[in-house]
Amino acid sequence: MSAFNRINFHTTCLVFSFLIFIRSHVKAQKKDSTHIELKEVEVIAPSKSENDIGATLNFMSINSEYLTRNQGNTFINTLEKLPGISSINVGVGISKPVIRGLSLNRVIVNEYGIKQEGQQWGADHGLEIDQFNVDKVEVVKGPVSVLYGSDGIGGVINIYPSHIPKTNSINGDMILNYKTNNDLYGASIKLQGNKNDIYTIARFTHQDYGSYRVPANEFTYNGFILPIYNNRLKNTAGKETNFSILTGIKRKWGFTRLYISNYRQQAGFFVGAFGVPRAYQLFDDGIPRKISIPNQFINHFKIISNTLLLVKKGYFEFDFGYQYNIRNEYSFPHAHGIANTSFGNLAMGLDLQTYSANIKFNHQLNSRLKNIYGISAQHQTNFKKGHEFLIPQYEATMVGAFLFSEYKPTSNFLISGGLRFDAAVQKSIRMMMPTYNSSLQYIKDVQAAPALNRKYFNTSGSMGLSYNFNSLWKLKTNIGSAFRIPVIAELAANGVHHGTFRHEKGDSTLLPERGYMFDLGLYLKNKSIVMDFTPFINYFDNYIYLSPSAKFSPLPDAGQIYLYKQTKAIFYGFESSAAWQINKFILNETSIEYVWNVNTENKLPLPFTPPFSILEEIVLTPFNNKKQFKLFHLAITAQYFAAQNRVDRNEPKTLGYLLLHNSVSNTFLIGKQKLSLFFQIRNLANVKYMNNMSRYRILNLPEQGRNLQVLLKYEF
Amino acid sequence: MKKTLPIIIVSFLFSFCNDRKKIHPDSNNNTSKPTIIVVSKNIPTITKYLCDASFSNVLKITTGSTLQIQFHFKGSNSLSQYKIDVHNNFDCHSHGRISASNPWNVLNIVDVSGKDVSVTETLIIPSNASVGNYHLMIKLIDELGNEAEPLDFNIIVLNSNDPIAPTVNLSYPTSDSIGIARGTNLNFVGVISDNLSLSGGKYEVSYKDSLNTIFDIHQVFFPPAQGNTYNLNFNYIIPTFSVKGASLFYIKAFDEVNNVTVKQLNVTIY
Repeated sequence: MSAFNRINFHTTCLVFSFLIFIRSHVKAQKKDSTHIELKEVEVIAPSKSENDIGATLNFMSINSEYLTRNQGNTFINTLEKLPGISSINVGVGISKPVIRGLSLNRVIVNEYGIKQEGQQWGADHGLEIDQFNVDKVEVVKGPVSVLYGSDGIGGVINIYPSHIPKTNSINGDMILNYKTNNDLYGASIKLQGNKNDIYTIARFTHQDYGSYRVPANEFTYNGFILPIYNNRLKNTAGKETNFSILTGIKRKWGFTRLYISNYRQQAGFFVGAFGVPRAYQLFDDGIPRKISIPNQFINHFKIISNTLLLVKKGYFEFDFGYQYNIRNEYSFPHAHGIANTSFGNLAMGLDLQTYSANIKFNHQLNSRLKNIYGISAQHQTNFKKGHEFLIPQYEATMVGAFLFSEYKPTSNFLISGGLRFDAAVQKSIRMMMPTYNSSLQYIKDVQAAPALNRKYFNTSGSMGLSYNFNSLWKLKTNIGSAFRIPVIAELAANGVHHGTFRHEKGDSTLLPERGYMFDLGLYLKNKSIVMDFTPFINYFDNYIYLSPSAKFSPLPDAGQIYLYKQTKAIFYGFESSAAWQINKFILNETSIEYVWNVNTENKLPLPFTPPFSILEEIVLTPFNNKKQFKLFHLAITAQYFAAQNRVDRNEPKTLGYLLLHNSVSNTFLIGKQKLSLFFQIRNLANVKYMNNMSRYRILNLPEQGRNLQVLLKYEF
Repeated sequence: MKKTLPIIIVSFLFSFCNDRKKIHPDSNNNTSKPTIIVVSKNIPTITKYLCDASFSNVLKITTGSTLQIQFHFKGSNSLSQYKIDVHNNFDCHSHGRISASNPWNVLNIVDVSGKDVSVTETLIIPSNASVGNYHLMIKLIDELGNEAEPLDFNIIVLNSNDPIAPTVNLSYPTSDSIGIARGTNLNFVGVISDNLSLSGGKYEVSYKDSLNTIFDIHQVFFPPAQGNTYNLNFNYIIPTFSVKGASLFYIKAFDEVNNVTVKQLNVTIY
């Protein structure tokens, strides 16, 4: 068996290598024969200038137009189209980012320079970001711990503020959208003004959706065929509201700005998701917008202050943040065999407050050498309530300091290197939990989680270079170490976790997770073709994962206990993309991504690994000489996802699938105002498929069916 | 340069291919699932309507009697444990409240070893167990933690001495379908009677509004000296904020062993 596997693997490897070879060759030849002016290729092309920090890393930048045109169910679903980015989803409203197969606390999301903190450790804990409120995003893949501290293992998603409104202007936009699949309607309004470079930008968004439809009227669970009435997954409705206001001042000395936002979401979980789904729970109650139990309520409030102060030979950056994340998960106590408590249906309530501070000094020593000195600090308190025990209350403090240098010996050569020191403290009190005998009679309280008092010290480093061979070819490479201190769930969890419906148990002696990463980036850019190939290899010596204990949980209805353990793990893979402007009107974009990993302890793959996928898109811009249709844009997209047979123990294998999407958009100019219409059909063929990155995969539930989306944007 | 770059890429990819040997030497990576087979059981499986849905895995059994199931557990790795879980499903897992006084619960975790294990589980239903619907679940894991597809049964427990549920006769409202304005008084008058003494039993009034939201509005436990009948007289003021439209009121009468009768009224709130 294993010999066969090895042969099989070698074959696959060879085929890939060969394909890449052919591909590069073909493209290289084509390049010589075409001399068409390459229009601005959105997304794929690296857009950061060489003067910015971290230019040797592999990054992609996208703007609000791209986000609107490709809008998915959530901000992360929209980013998913980018090579190397995927998402872990629960239904359509909850998703979290995955970069090169690394997820949860291994990916940092920074909004306006402050790391978003909202219980990222849980697969069912979505990212609390309103996608209408994002104008500019940058995704950095690779080792970013030196710059961003703990958790910067897979990469970072940086959300930047909107452009400052034009001096002495008042304007804004209004967005209305509708999605047929889950009857989503949404509205978003932005108002902004600038007087003498003192400006304010405010946005309000509300979206409300019903239970989503799947192309199936039944599903199979544990040998039983269960109904899906009217193709809707019962109780997957939700709503979200976001309000944000940013106000700032721009002067010769630099700028300062203050940002306040409040994101609120209520989302239902499929009725059978927390336990064994039963036929009688699934009856259609005729109210697809109703959010019943189980569901989750999230409120994420934040205040962020950013200041940039120009000084001789550089500038200071001061970023301060306060975040208050409330997360309440509601489910019936009975469903878990526990009698009533004073918390009613509140299974788990977590209130997390985070204070953050980052100070950096960008020091331009001379035209070739730039140093960045930074310090950062973060303090968290987490309060816990609810009738279930999963994680204890805790306090955590982290401080770090780094030096990052960029040296440019010649105009086509850039070397960077950095060193970082971090220290962290985590404290939690001992938690008790009631126990019951086999007749569910209370016996006594036992320890659920020990008291914690952990201290961590970590050093990380990275080096990178970027070299332009000539005007066409560029090479980047990075080597670095990344780390993450264990999260409280990994240290002290003890209970059934909704994200997996498993009894998970922490280990208070876990060491920080450390990764050593190496990546390459090979870039080609000529008049009509932009191509890149970015392979990577990551090695972890303390990778934290959940391991089945082969012992059952004493909790009623629960399966076996999963223990948090550490192992050596290897990840490797690549992304490759190519954009080819065939002629003035036709653009062809292709991208491939692949991740392979292994847990060396049990020789098995790690769970939630995205499958090999290929994206092929043809973009037509046939009317770019006509005034009112200058921005007309038609795209046909095919996405192929291979079967995922490399799965962890007890993780089901998933078949491959092909999805088709289509989008049409145009912007009409009405005087000085703009009216844009975006139309999208996702899953055009209404394909029934399962996604191994979905929480509902374990219930054998198919993913969302065809979805027609209309979005109207009026800019005034 | 243009020609050599693809070669660099290929060599790079190739270097990964060779890594594989180091990390795949042997295997505790056997992920095949163990299986649970029911060899025999002393109660036949029947198809029944439970909680408004049809189930083909129902076992009907009386209190004080024995359920005996012979299992054959099989795996390609040595087995570790099986778990038998019985809990009540009186409320069809939709309500947080455990309503009966004496539900039957089983939570047995048993160690096993070997790849091929035959086990006979004998479950005695306590003679005083509350009657109603229960779930029985059997789970199995091997020593590597591979999980078998669990086995799932619905059990209907009947009381051997008292299989008869109380009856509810209402003299008011006089019809099963009525209309009533918000803010006005809905009066229930009638008699609950049973073959044995009602003491230890109870009655409950609840309703489901036109949006399918369920409200529990009244619960009375019958006192110890209660005879075979109870005179019901209960007033409920339809809240002024309640949802208009067709709602359902339920009067549920339970005897001591949890035999239950549900009287349903169609009430249109306007």
